[in-house]
Amino acid sequence: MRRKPNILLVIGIVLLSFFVIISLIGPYIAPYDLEYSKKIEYITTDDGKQQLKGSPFPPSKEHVFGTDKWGYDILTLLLYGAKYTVFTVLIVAVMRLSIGTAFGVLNGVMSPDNKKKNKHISLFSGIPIFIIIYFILAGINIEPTLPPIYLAVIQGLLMTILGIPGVYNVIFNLTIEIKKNAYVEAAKTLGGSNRHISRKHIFPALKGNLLALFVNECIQVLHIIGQLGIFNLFLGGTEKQYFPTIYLSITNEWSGLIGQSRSFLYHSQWIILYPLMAYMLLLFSFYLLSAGLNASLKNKARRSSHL
Amino acid sequence: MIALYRHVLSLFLLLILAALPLGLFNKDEKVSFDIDGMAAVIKEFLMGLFSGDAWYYSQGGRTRLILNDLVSFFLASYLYLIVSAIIVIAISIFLGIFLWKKSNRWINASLGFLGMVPDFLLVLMLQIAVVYVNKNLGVKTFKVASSSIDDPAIFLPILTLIIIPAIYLVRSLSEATSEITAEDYILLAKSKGLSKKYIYFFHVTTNVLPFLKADIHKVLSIMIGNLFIVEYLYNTRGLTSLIFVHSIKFGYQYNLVIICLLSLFILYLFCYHSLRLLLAAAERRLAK
Repeated sequence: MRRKPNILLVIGIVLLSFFVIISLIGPYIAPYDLEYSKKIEYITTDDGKQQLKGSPFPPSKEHVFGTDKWGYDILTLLLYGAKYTVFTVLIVAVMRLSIGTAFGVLNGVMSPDNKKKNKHISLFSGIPIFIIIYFILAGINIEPTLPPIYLAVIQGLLMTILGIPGVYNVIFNLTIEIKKNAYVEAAKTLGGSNRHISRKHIFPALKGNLLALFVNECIQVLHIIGQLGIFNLFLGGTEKQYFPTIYLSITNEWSGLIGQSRSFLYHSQWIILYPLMAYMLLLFSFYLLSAGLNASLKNKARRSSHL
Repeated sequence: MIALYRHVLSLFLLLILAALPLGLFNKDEKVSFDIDGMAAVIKEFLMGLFSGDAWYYSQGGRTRLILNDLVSFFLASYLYLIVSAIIVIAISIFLGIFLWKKSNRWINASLGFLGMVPDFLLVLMLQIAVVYVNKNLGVKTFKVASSSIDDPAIFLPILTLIIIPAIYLVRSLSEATSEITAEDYILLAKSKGLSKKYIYFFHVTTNVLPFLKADIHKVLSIMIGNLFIVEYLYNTRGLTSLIFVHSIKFGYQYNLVIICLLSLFILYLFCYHSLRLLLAAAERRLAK
């Protein structure tokens, strides 16, 4: 019997690869230079008159996504910033997952009995991850002296470290579950070492979950970057200008673009709309991946409901 | 004993964390890390707890007792949180248990994505939608943000606080319900000729509630995370806005931030136990 192809998964993979390619070649296909800005221009109005107008310019043939308040082409900014958003998300998720999995599986295999960790309330229960990162970065991220790539790495490391416990807990509990299977017991009786059991028995059983978990972590990292962006801590550094006080993203990372144009909610909405759409589309590709993976993971041994 | 050590350790970490903006900053073209300065700030705060200085904060020119103002900020946050948490639980019991088959389908179809949209985007999109409706239809629907203390935005903040945790909880409860409806005791109840309504109330619900209780921690941490964004973007009064808005307006005040973070923990405990109390009451009614 031919299996139905998992459409969601396929679309998700196509979309995500599109974003990865865009972030790799973005700067080369960008229509304008990053430094290019158009402050004023003659615009032909509907009745044929020429009119001098200042930036921001709405979307037109020359500027597909329009320009921002200072005349920079938004499409160009998005293409230049893509690599920071996409690669930070992917790399941080991979690191969170690999470290969390390594410790989770090892500790799960070695822990003597099927004890479940019960949840403790701590002072940090009510403090979300992005607030912790906020306090650490608040002093160094605005008007930075460090180069953008350093700041991105620092923020990436913080997001990794603070995310590991979550992955660890999930993997630890899954390992405990898998350990209950008879084949693990058999391997143990035959003298399999902890390392052998984790590599040959636990890890293969975890594989499907790992992918789903990876997508989940990507989404969470994307959230954290965005939330920090709302508090003016943009990935790769924030440029602060005075009179009036405004914050600008140095790297043009996408949630930075959203954060810096938050005030354009009520007029010139294209300035915030296009970065928002790019960000949402990236999120959507992760959503499709996770929905597709869940569909292929589910219904393996489900009993049917009586109601 | 270990629990006590853990709390002391996390209190210590919190003290350091809140001191970081004062100790780790850019100075003269390079990053400086001022451990002595941080230690001095922490020490000053701890001494101030006894001398009384740490209980006052400055608001521009004047100084005020923190506790005087904190209570009203705390209550505002608590009200927003608890009202939306109760609605979340009501929705999730209704959709996740009684309508679990339908809600499973909805979530898989379209609602699932809504649950993944980060809180700040949800806020921005709701605000754009309200502005759009107002501009194009001329209908004034909801306040986009609070303009003053007497005139707070209520509907949109609560809606934002509800949506994300509600979708998470409905998903998790409908998962649990689908497991439980496959149990043998449900089959037995059915074969005894009990009505569907009865089975849902007294067999399914009582067995799903423990899952709900276990999930409250997660739901509350999601909601408090959202609260930071909601209070900031809607400009409503609350504990988290006290931390940020005040720092932006009047400069970073260490004692204020620490006391706010600690009261955030108290807020968490308050909400947690209020919800547990509510669920205990519901269980008690079902057990009759």
